[in-house]
Amino acid sequence: MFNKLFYIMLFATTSVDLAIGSYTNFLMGFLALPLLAAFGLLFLTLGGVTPLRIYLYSNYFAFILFMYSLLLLRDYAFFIENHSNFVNGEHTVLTAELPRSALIDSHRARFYGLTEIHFLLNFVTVSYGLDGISCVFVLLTTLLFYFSIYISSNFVRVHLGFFNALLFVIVFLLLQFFTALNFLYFYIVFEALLIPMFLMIGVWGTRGRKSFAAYLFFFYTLFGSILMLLAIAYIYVNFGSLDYFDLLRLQSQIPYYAQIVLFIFIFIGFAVKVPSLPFHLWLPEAHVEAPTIGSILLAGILLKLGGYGMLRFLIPVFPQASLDLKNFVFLVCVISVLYSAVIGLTQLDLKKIIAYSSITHMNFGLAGLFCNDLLGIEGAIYSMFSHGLISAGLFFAVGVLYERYKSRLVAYYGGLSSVMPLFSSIFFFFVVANVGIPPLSGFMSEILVLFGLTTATNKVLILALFSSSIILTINFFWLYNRVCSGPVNVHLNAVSDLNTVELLASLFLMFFVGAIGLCPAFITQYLHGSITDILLFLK
Amino acid sequence: MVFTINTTQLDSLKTFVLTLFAFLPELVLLNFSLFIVFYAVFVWNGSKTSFTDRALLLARLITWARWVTVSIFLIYGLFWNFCCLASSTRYFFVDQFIFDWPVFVLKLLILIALFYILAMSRTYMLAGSHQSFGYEFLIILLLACSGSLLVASAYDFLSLYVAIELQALAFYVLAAFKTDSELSTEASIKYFIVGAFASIVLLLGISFVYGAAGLTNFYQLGIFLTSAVEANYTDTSLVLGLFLIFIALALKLGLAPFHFWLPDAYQGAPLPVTAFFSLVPKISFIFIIIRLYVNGLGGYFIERVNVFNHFDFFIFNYLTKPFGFLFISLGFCSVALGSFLGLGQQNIKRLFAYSSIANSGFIVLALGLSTAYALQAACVYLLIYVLLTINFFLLVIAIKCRTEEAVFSISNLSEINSPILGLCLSLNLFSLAGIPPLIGFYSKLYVYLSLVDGQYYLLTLLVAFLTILSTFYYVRLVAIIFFIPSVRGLFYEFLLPSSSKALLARPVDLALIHGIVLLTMLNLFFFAHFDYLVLISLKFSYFIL
Repeated sequence: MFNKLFYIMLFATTSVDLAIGSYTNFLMGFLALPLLAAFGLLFLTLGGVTPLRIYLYSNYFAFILFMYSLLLLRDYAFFIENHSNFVNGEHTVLTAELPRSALIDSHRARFYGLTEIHFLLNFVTVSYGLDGISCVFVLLTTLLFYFSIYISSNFVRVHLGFFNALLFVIVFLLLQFFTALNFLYFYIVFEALLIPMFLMIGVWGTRGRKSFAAYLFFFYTLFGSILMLLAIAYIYVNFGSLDYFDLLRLQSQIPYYAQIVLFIFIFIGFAVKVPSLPFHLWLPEAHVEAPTIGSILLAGILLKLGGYGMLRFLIPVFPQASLDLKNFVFLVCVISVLYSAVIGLTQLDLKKIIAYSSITHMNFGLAGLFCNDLLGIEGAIYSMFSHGLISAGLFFAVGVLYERYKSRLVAYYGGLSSVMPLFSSIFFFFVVANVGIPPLSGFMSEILVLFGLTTATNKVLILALFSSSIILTINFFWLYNRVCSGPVNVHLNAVSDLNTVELLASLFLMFFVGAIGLCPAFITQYLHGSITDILLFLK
Repeated sequence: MVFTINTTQLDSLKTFVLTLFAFLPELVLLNFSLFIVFYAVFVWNGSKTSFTDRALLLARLITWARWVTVSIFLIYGLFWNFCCLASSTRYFFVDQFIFDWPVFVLKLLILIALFYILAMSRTYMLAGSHQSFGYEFLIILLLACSGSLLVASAYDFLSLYVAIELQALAFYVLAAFKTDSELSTEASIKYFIVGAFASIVLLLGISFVYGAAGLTNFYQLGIFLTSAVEANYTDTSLVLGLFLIFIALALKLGLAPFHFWLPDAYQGAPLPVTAFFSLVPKISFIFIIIRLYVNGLGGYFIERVNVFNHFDFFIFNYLTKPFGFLFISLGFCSVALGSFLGLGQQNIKRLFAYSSIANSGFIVLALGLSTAYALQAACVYLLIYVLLTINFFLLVIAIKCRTEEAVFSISNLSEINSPILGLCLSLNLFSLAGIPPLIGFYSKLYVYLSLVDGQYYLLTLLVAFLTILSTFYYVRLVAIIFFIPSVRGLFYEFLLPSSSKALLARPVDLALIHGIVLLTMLNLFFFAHFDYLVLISLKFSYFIL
């Protein structure tokens, strides 16, 4: 009977998604899939289907989602080949001298699958569209999601069905987030993500401190996003539209001092997510207390929401303010980068060390976003992508250790390379990638951002970024030494190396880290057009 | 002999039918409570039955009352068109009462609330947690409800006062219905003292107004005030009277400086009565505030500016800022106090009391802005508050029924053993906290928008931060539900067949389950329905203006 339910749900989810996709468009089918799958999982779980079938079901749809996103990327590449640089129906070289409306039209033509769902009053307009920047983040989301679902059988001991349903809901919201083109809808999705993440940290977290961590995560984000909501309210009341393409005309309509205030409010909303310094406290707590997969999602995707949001709704919407407040942002970056790198040296918890390195990397990316240079912004996005993969790998490695020894203290481990050689090698790979050793993606991301920043002529910034990178390198090699080299710690017993699932999952990630490290154009080819547009808006 | 009807007779027939239609809920409910009296005298007292039988008897009566409510609702629904035709405002009983579109919607809303409160009281009673409910409970509940319905349609200070008294007297008895509980008696006495005081203040205000204008009818007063404004005529006693009336209504509503009785009354009263207190009087009193200060006496306080947009109808400005300021300051105080004092509560009823103070504060805050947009925001807020409150109490009753232990201490919420129930309750709490895709967010967003629209930037910022504070106590409940493992483990094995068997074994009301499912669905998938609700409230505010 339960088998029947399993096949029925499998069939129903697939066919409903196909129906939605063929009735509207490819993008909508893609976006609807995770929600349908989440409901399917909920039904299956309540129907008492075995965890194995739940795992199979979620794996199947996660894989389909991943394939879907690859197809979407391919489609986008075809689409952009035909549609780039259109002004009034003709191919033109875009310059800043063109009228702004022409630039906006051309920018609009870069969006694939533009869909608007108007409700009666146009108050909440749900509008989607996919441009190059979204493409990259959508790929990151589905990739890490498939990775998380794949390893969920190893890492989730209780309530696998609810956990995977929650993961599907999170991914549904994330995909909405990366394609939303209405500021209010964007905000709604941004804050809606709090609910499943809060539950995930609190329910599947590991220690007694988890509810404190969940509260910190929840309220830091809520604080920032309330400020953003007020900014949105101001824009809506005074400007009348929250559509992305309308917002690009905002600058000429709202007084300059108001723009500055709005910029700061929205910046705080996103800076909590990055996280930049005064708002960073939630991150180490949340990472440490979250389950392994929660940490992977947090570091891999949720930290990118801030950067993506700034690139979508802050920099092009408030170009003048973002140019004028550039040095303020750089100051925040310098403080965050140095502070987190140094604090990372003093940590005793494996996850905390990685969490602080995440702060360093994300603020590195933040500096790149504001450098007003093609290479820098592309490098920032590239670094977000690469950091997503690498930090997922690192948290995965820590999760592997935690599953075996139930401890995350560095001092507990030692000499793992002799007892867990496979683990040690993948851990080494991700450590090396994280500190930025050449053939891997960490190196490319740092070098792209730094090249971009050379035009910013801010010596202090570049010096700070360099020195933080060096501190990070020292810290991570030291970490690797403490965990994997030396004599085997006497407390370690009952050793088992990676099992097949874990090995395959890590190879999956390592492949992408190596591939985009060797060929950054795989990511950056999608970005040129959109970022050129944004730079033109900035001029 | 040929039967003929002349025009006068036809007119009076029409008036009769219209009156019947307009006062259908009140008439039916009052008559039904009379019927219960007879039924109780001839059936109840005649049979020497055990407690269980008497409980079943009352349960049957409550079921009948529910069918009555549903049939009134259906009749109103079926004659929707008729009502819209009749929505050219009509006055009844020598202009004592009014029936227009907003009143129609209000009555429907109160009937919905009554329906679910009846379901709650049936479940509550059959769960056996309380032994002393008699048939009087139902009679008084229905009387209170018809009082509220009359308050909503009152259009004269006299009828308003009488209706408020009918409602309030019933409330005092309802609060005391747990006869074996000291808290319940305390609640009743507190409610009685405050209510009596409020009535005195109301009467005083009415007499001041009457002394200055010689009128009690809202419509005539509106005309009087309009001409008074045109003639630059100001009278201290008039303003004082209106001020006192507002204070009396604020006392009844439990706005911030006058809120002390409210948590005690909520805590002491039996659970369905608490639900009743937080739903029905809120609806009627907020509506009467709108009626008095935004519409009925409009001319005096409000200047009509002739902006007619597609959807934004009129823009209002107060001539006398103090009243707007009074509304805003009372509303802000309520939001602040409700948010701060809710933080330390351990009792779920008290917590909800503070939450309802904060919520009515939001509504009054929006009303104080006196723009059409803000009025619409207040209407949306009221609607959503009612839906969420119904959902909340249905869930609490369901928990009580399923776990058979006190849920009133919030630390016991961790014992919820059904993940679905826990999920529904936490979605409801997130919604009350105003976290987006849930409906609670939209109501708060509307109020923020209207505050920003009125250029109260600092106030918006403060209110937003207070909302974060109040979010904490809702989210803490969610954390207790999910994060603290219960004795039986967090996620009790939820198998559909066994649990539905358990469902049948317990006296869970089907209306309860349906209500929970319906309202949770509304809560979750609000995108599609949101604009319809906004449209209703738009039409609502259009007719009020």
